[in-house]
Amino acid sequence: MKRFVFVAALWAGLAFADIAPVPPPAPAPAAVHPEGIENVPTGVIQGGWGYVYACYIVAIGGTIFYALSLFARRPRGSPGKSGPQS
Amino acid sequence: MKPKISLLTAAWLVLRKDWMIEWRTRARLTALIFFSLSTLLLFSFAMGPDINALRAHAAGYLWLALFFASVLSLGESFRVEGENQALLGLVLTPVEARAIFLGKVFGNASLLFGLSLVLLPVAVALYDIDLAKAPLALLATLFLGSVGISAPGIVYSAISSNARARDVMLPLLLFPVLVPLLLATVNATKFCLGPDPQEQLASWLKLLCAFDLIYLSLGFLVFPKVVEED
Amino acid sequence: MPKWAPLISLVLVIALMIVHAASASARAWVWKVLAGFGAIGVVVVVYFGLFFAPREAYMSDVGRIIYVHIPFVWMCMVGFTVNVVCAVGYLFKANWKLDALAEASAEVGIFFGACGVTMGSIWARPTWGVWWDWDPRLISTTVMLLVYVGYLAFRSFTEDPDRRAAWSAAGVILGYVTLPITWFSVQWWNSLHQRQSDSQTVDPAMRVGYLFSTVAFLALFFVFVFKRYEISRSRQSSALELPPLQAPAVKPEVSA
Repeated sequence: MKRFVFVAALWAGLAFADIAPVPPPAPAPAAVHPEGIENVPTGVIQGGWGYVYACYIVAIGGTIFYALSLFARRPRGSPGKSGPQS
Repeated sequence: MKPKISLLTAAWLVLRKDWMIEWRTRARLTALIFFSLSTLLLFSFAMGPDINALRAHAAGYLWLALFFASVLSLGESFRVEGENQALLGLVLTPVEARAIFLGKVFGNASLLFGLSLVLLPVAVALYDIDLAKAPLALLATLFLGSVGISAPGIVYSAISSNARARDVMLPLLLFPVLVPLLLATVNATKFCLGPDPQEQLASWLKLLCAFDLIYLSLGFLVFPKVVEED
Repeated sequence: MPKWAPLISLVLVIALMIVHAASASARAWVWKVLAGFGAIGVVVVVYFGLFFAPREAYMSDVGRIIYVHIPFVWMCMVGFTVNVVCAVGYLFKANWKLDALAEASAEVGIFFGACGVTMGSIWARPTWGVWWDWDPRLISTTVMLLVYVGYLAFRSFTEDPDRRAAWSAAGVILGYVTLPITWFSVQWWNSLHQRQSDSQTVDPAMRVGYLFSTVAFLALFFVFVFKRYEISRSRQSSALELPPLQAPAVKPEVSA
């Protein structure tokens, strides 16, 4: 019986501890950006020249490649006439 | 030679002829049904047992099964005409080629629509969807989608039926054109089966109607050039 | 770059095209002039785009891709439009030249479109953070290219020239519907890809750049279509001028 009262009192105490007022949290430290404020993005993309070069290479390389493929497939022989008449 | 009977009568006769062929070759029809059923089953096996994911994607699976089945049915639709040069005979009758187009489109569309009606209960069993939410809109979606597959499909099927490797050629030509239709039908079906908080169903149905009208009229215009030999 | 450069060069290029179409004797040299103009124009575009052009307000240097991305996709659409005009013309009046021009413009259009989509994908990486996204503009452009790849595949899989011409023309008219979808997709669905730029939204210094670039690539487009057209014509002549089929002199042996 003694033991039971002890357990019940402990339980009640724990239950009340939950609604006991919580001490206010310690004031947050001054906001510091993890990477430093000077590294926060400004909304403008920085750099990226690699992408620009890649695009210009695709444009010019593609054009040269297609021109070469047309040259490789050029019609040979009997240059005067090209194709049947309509 | 001027056609002796009106366009719609002729289209109806072609449609009846197609139905009769389907009825007389029921074995093919059964094979088509089991093909699309096994497609639905395969999707449910491939995506695993998560019933919520299956239910969320049920509309997509349903329409993909119909798309795959449509390639078979469209290919068949002109393969049977190739036997004994039946298409040539059809073109030589005093009937406009456009009537053949209309008849064949609606013949194929009715086949796909019937197929989708067979698939719906199976989809209920496999994916646990609720058909009773908007049944009329669902039927309208299925019908408009069937017509939308068939209208460009008949033209491309007629085109590819004489090319080499026609079994590859038909989906290669048809599927890119059908992408807007796939988007519209899947979204409309999704909103028929599930919640539609922003009431988007009407706009997708409108897109479906527009797709059908565009391809029916374009096919109507170019189909004579496809089948008539000059 | 001076403000009048795109307009003057456009007038020049179109005048040369008209000369090419009107006079058979000019056909030997006009394309060389246009090819030279295109080559110089591309060099000017590269210099302007990489070193001279102002930085974009938000994309900074990455915005320089605009000077090659826009012309390529526009030339793709021009090619497909030329193609569908030829296809409709062919269905009205069968003409081998229209068929050859349709084939040529479709292939050149696919080339420009594929390069344009590749550039768009590269551009998407720094600006949107992904190489590819579920975006209506991207999907519809790719679908449009696939339609035309199917068109060329169909052409190469059909032997009879008459049927190939008529059927591919009929098929591609249905496929052309994807082009207006692509063009208006950015207006119908507001998504990642921006809307078409116009004079209100683009600084004149940049607008001049991509308009001039478009004219330079238009000249190259014309040269490509013309050379590809000649290839088609020579293939047609070799396909159509064969002697009529005759019984083979030696019967093929039938293997048991």
